[in-house]
Amino acid sequence: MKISCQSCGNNKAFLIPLWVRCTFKFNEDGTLSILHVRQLESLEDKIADQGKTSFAITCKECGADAQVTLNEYENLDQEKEQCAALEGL
Amino acid sequence: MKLLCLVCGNYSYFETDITTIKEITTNDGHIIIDNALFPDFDYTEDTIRDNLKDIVDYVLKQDDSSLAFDRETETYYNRYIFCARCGSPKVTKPFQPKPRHISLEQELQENREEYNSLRKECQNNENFLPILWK
Repeated sequence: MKISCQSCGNNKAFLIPLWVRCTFKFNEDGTLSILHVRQLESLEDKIADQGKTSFAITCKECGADAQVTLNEYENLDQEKEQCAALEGL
Repeated sequence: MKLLCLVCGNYSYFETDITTIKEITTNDGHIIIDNALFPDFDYTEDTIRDNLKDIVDYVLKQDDSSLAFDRETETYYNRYIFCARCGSPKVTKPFQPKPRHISLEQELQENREEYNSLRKECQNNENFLPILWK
């Protein structure tokens, strides 16, 4: 898997929005204390759905949408198959 | 007491769903998910705290708007916050009796003396103010 930014070429750090369930309590002085934070979404699904939903993975450096390549060797395999087919001909 | 669960009476512990931002870093084909750290702040922590405060403030301010009507049970439920003890979404602000309605004229009459004393106070202060051009 490869994640890269098409705008700035960054391939290290990205930001992803995530729904969480937050358990909290009201203190006596009116402030809030957070007791627990539980993740509600599967990160794997979100990464795989990149480009299909509006809540996208964005580049940490420039904020542009990131591009996720699940199988970066897929194109190489296709090229090899095409070469083999040509050689066969 | 700011919010109250109508089922179990809990007024301290509640739950809500909010969004936060996480950071994905890639290293040698591995993906590491961690808090989004910037040089001077933790973006993940800040979004959790800010979004939680926003949703609680919204529910406290817009009590009626945050409630939705359930046709099956014919009761109102909270769309954003639910009870952390029993899981019920029937969370509302505690009942507060509406203040008695009085006309503006009546209210002005009741507060006339207070207003007059305020005006007198202002006049006195005016007399004691330093005169800058002398």
